[in-house]
Amino acid sequence: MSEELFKAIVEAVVLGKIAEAGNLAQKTLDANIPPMDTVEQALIPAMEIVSGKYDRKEYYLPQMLISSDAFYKAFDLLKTKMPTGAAGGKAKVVIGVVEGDVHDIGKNLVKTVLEANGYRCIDMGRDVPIEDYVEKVAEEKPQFLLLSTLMTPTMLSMKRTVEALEEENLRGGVKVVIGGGPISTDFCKKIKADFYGDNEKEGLKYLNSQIGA
Amino acid sequence: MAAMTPIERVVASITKKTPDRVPVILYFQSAVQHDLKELDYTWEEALNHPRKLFQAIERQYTYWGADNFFLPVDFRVEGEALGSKVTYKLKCGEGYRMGVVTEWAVNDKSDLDKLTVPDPTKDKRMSVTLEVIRRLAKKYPQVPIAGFVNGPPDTASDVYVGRYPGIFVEMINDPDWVLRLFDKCAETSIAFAKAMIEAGAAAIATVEGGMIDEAISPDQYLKFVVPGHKKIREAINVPYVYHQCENATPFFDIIVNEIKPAVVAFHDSVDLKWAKEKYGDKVVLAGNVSASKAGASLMDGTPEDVLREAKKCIEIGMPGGSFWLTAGCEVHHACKPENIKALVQAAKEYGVYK
Repeated sequence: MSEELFKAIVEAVVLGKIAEAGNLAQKTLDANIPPMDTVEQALIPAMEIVSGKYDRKEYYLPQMLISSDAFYKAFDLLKTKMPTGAAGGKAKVVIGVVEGDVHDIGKNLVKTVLEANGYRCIDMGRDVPIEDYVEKVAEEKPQFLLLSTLMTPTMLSMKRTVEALEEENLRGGVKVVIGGGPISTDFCKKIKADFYGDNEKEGLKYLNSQIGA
Repeated sequence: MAAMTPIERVVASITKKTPDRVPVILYFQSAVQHDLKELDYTWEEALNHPRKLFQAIERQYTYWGADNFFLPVDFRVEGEALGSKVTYKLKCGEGYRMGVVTEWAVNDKSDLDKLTVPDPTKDKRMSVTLEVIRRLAKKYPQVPIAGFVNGPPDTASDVYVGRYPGIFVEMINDPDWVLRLFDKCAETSIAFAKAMIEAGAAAIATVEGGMIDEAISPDQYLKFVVPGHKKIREAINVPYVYHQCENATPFFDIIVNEIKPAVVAFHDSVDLKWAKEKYGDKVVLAGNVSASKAGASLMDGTPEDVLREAKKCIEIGMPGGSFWLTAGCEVHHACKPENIKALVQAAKEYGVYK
């Protein structure tokens, strides 16, 4: 029965059937299937399929976002039934869009993939003041800080956030990963961030490599 | 060949005649901040006052040396006219704050039915733009004025509380609603464009900033992006100058053959040689010195880098005419002033037709 439900959840997420994904997730709980099993055997594979379709240009952002909504419909329900720390037990990530920028589609997609793969993401949102990132890093002590920007002028905010962490003696305890349209590996080196990811898959690969996953 | 005025030069390039040199056309958007700094104006005061905005805009020709004027220089005019609220809080360096939408006109999908196309002569910021165009046309009749309208999807993201993420989702869930929203934005752009033309604009420029190659498919572009732009282009009697952000390559055919603008301006991610070979006889090509990504010559390079890159663009684009030298994206405030000057210099140095 669990196999059938998992298969149905995968299809619901891949096809972006939001309500159905939620209903099916509830059915797994009703059937006493451990929620983590559903995450690992249905939701994660579903998002891998969705990512693959995007890479092959079978899916574009509209389909990705609908699938992401379906993923979260199921995931948020399952998360409430997991032991504390079980969802997102791999590592803690603070993620957000830098100060001055309001574009958050890329950041949200990265967050989806990371949460699907067991990372606990503290989403700071968009246009996040530099001081807020510094405070959050000091408070939460995440292993990773992920910064996103789509706009060229706000690349400066990225640089200043890294500098602020340095000034507050927080830089050493956190890996800073950057991404977004105008960003490059050269820019990453220039601002002394740790990694530039061109897409969510590269970001996931890097994070996994850092924690030995 | 005798030296032409900027308007003669631009008209020659559009009408398949040979100009004296390659026109250098600047989408001078947030780079106007360099002028605001010189004039000691904030974004908010300049965009809301005709005299101050005029002083900033006229420098595009008198100081920077462009072959055009380009205004309005921010993207929020139409969204604000449709009822969204703009607050000047977006940090953009040197203590400046640009406008960003903080309250949206459409909070529920049913709000779309309440939207009305604004009267540009009565809307605050549209009427400021019109007054500046009138003053520019009177003082500088030799310089073509490009009036700017946002692409309908970009205006829609300023009007709908869901912004682009919400629009993308509704493209799947409720495509007819999205098309109606885009149509309302296109109607707004048409009203604004016509008013700018009446005030003295010689061309209408536009941009597709959110509907990019990484976001939507060519089929989705055809369905959602084309109708609004086609409607705008058909409604105006001046050249339509179309800029597609990021990699326009997957959409180029659609843009040239369906929207049919007079000019296609594109990002440095497009191979200019490819574009010239395939479309050089159908449309004026405008490109494409790098401006927007890390390492871009206009932003991070030296004037020599800009001259070098611009020279390559000119060598590819200028044979046979129908080519404008431009930045690959808007000229933004992180583009160094000396590099903007180098771009203009490149056209004069390397772009003379013999």
